[in-house]
Amino acid sequence: MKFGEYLKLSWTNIKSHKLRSLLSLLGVTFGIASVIAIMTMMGGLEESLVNIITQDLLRADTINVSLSGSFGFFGGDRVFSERDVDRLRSIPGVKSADVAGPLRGGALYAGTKRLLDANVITTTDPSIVPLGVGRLVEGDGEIVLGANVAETVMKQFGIIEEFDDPDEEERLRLSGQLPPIDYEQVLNQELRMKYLNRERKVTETALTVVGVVKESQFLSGSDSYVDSSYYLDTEEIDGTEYLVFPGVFVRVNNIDRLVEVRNAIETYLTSDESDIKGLVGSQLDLDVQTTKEVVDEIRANFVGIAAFLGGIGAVALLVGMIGVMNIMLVSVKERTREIGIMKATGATNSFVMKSFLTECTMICLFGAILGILLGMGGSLLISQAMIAISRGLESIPFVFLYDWYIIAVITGLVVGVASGMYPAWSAAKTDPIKALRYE
Amino acid sequence: MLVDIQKAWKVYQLGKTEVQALRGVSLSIDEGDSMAIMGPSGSGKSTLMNLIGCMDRPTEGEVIVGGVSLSSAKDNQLAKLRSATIGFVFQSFNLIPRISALANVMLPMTFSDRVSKSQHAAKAKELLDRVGLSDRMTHMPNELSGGERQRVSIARALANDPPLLLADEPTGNLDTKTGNEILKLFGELHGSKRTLIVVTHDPEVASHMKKRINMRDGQIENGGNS
Repeated sequence: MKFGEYLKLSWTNIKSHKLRSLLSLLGVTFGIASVIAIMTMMGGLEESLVNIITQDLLRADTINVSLSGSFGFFGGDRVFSERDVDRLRSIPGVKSADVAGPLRGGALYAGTKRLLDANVITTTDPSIVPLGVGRLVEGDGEIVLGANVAETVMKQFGIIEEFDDPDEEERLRLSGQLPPIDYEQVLNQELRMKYLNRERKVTETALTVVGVVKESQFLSGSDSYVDSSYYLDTEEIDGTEYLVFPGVFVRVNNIDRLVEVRNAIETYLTSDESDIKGLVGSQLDLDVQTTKEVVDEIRANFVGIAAFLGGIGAVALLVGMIGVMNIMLVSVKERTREIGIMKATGATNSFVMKSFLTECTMICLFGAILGILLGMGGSLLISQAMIAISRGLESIPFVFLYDWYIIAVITGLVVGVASGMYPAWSAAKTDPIKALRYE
Repeated sequence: MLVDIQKAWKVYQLGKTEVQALRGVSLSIDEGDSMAIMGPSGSGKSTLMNLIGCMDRPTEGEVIVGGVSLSSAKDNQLAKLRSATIGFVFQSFNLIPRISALANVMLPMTFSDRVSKSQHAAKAKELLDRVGLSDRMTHMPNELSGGERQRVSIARALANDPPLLLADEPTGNLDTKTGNEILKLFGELHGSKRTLIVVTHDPEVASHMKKRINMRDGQIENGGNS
């Protein structure tokens, strides 16, 4: 008998037990769906994180230099001296080396009100700031605000309405009853900043808002940027006070030489000639990573999380598989008489075995395909839910995980054969005489 | 000789007790014969029928059907032998309830190469027509009367043109009138040179057969002919 006929016969059997087939199919479906949903979700989050890092923070031609475990942009110990940065600039292939660091005592005021949660950062390269609206700072007296700070400023100046209940406001904004915040309106507003100048004296200066940082869940809405001339952290090296920063961003002329430059940077910084080595000594543990390496590290972390969550899905699949096996055993029992009829009319053991196995595998395969679709749909729903509850996360990209779909289909086949093997074998071994007497 | 049984024994273990269902039965059936196997319940007539129908192997002795010795045959050989040689008609019809009359008749053809795939439906229709069910082909078994179901099961038994038709109380679940119609149908089939064996305890049914044997306590009472 040809394979197509087994399929036809199995399909007839499946159709004649619609509810039962559906129930056993759902066991597999939910198992597969949970794995696919988790993987799609994680894939989407990974993509959006990688996108933000590569689009908003790092470019492909960038090498991020920081102390191990900290990310230069976000702070950490200030140990990279101006002189080291200058020396990095002279490494062949280096286009630019820039620093960024939080300003000491940078307190912002809108009118008479102190702005809370405003983290003022200085940078030698204003273009590392992912800008939303306006322009980058071009010198003293200018500031690019973080999105949250900009919103607070607009409320302080009465540009937008202030709500007593922030949850209510968020709800209204998400549901579209309030228009999204127009950050253009905060441009050219005047703020005041108190900070410590190089003489360690509290100084006050006026700042004009020239831009607002892009809204993004992976960027702090409180980081605001001013010119590097306000920066004051120094260390005394070889009798001279040098500015020191928590990290350096190096860009290369030619992306093909990225790794070569990276190695040169690492060699210099870990050599005894570097200021950082003199300053930190044997504790020095550096991360000198290209954007690709940063991204790879993120991806590697995601693989770990995905494996853990996928394992939970696999347990669901195992439960589903036991369910299918159970139902197939019941089905064999129930169709005992039918097996007897088939054997009496000439069916061989192998026919009986194959027909049950085909049926079970078909159910599991349908279950797997439905599971893939359900998993894709489920991940969309979870994404929507995550976007709804998190501020600033505009979208999680939907990723198609083709290799996972293939794995899911193969899993469906394997589960089908594995769970159908014993029931099919017991059907094949049924004694036709007893089977025909079975009530 | 279509069936040749020599001193066949069949012994079952039923819990701790040994049941001797057949005790040295010898019987031969020629092509074109018609025979009734009679006897009370527990006399061994069903066991004998299972052996003739290649559903079982003897514990001792020799059973040869269509030239094949059952004692040494593997499960698959028995299945092939049933497919090629035997057409079963059961008391309780034993149709598969989920498929149509036509599909039930086509079923044995899928286990055999005798009828080519493209001819299955045509052959099944022809057989149903022959048993007088040309207008019931697409009906499900539960939409048919008892007599109609038995006709479907006879059509199914003829699907692969087996030389031997084996019927176990074929009229047992039918009223007298319908039973007579079925017997008439058997008569026509036997007329077409087919061997017919009917297991029954109804003397009326047995009287339609050329030969009759009586079973008692696992043995043939009257030596095979009457």
